[in-house]
Amino acid sequence: MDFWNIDFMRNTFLSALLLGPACALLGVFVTLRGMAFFSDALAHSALTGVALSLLLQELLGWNIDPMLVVLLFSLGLATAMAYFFERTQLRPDTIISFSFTGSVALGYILISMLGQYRIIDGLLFGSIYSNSTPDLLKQLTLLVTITTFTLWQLRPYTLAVLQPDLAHIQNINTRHLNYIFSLLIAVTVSITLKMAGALLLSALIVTPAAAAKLLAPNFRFFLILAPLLGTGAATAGVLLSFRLDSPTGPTIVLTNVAILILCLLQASLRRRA
Amino acid sequence: MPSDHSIASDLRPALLKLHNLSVAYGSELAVQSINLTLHQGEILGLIGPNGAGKSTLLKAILGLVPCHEGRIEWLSSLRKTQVAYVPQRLEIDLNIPFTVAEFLSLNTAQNRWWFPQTKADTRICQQLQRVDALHLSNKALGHLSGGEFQRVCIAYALLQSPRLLLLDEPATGIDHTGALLLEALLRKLRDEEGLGIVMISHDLHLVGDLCDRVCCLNRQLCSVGTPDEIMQEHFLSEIYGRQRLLLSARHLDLRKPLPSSNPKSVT
Repeated sequence: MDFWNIDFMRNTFLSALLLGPACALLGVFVTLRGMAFFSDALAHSALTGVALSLLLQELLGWNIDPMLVVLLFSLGLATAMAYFFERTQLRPDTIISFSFTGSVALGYILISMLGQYRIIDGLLFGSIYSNSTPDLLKQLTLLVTITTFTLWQLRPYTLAVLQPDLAHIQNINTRHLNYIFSLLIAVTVSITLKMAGALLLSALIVTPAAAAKLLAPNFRFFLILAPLLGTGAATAGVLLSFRLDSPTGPTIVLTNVAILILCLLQASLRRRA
Repeated sequence: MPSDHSIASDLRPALLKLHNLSVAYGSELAVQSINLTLHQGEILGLIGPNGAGKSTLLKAILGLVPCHEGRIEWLSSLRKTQVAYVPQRLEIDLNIPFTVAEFLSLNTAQNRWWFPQTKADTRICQQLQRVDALHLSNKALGHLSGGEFQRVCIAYALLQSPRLLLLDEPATGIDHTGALLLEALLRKLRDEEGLGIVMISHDLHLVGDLCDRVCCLNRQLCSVGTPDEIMQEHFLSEIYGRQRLLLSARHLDLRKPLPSSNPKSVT
């Protein structure tokens, strides 16, 4: 295939192969815990993370990897939201909503103050063509980490989500597991930002899992099908974007959504039958 | 000196003794100065209005909430893993394709990292058989009726081979047939396997039929006695108010004469 001989195209395809299953596997637990909106908020906060890294560079001359600042900011936001969930009377969706909009507003103000409007497009919708070999290594590490966490903590974490009291009785530390899971979402956001951008990346996490949920007759199948659909949609989206010369991130997201719609139709036909 | 509301003549070992137990949420006491004993092979019903602290008491026994005062004394031979709990509901979106067998597998062989095939796990099949739910093993949790769900949760608990079973409102949302099945199952566990069972319930009919002793709780222990002693108008109206009692009167024979023995009133 021609694209395999062109560096950025090959890297983009490899990214799809690595990030597609990683995000979808994470999405299984995001769906299980009903945290789609939470992961969306963390994804959008990446805008502020990048803006903060630019600010540090501008004001203090610190040349920090934006991915690291995004990770730290997402982690801070996730911790703050977890604190508010536990300590206030507000509903989680309200807390997520103001954290989400507040961080995006802050990010945009910082970017406009710094006059860096040119980065907005890439930040919001992804700029996968700047994918380098170190990026691919980070993505591979992410896939290995998420797969390891899933296999290592699958049963304890599933029980902690299903019924926290039962998990406590079995000496499972649900609080620690929840923090590790939030950390994983934050790491995924920072690494996936280049592929789909802050506005779209949560679709890579939620959509394949949602489609798999519609088709799977049991949890085992759900766990296997979600990463398969995620990989399929991401690679198909990359190939389509090469053929149509369309932006890669949005094309991957649209492919995911198209698969989800097909699954919805199939599920509704099955229900009628 | 705290009084102990056990049956004095009972020679069966006490699985659990609560000594002057209080639980607080912040500065507010949820339950106060509870003294209670549960024996092996005994079903103890906990009744009381909403907010009376029944679930809190159960959670304190399980160690899910800390005790503010007092202590819990366990039978020395009772291991922590032999205490099983049946919650009222699960926390997740029940449309997640999670089958009954997969749910039960979470309480077997902690080191296994994957979900076993149903047919391969004989322990799961055995427990489902015991609660008359083997046919549900491949059904999604979200598609179970209230009664089926409770039986599945009891099968989950039985996988621990428990000696003490704590049930949080097992009869909620169950129809009459489901309640009868539940009653027969709990009776069997008590009589044939000698389980000690603590059951929270608002179903006074079920409590009256099934329990060996009944505790009325309203943040404090109001009264403890046999169902015949407790299911009396003056006790129930004190706990629930007159209105609730009129509704209950259709189910309970509250007009029968008082038995000679009176329940031990704490207040």
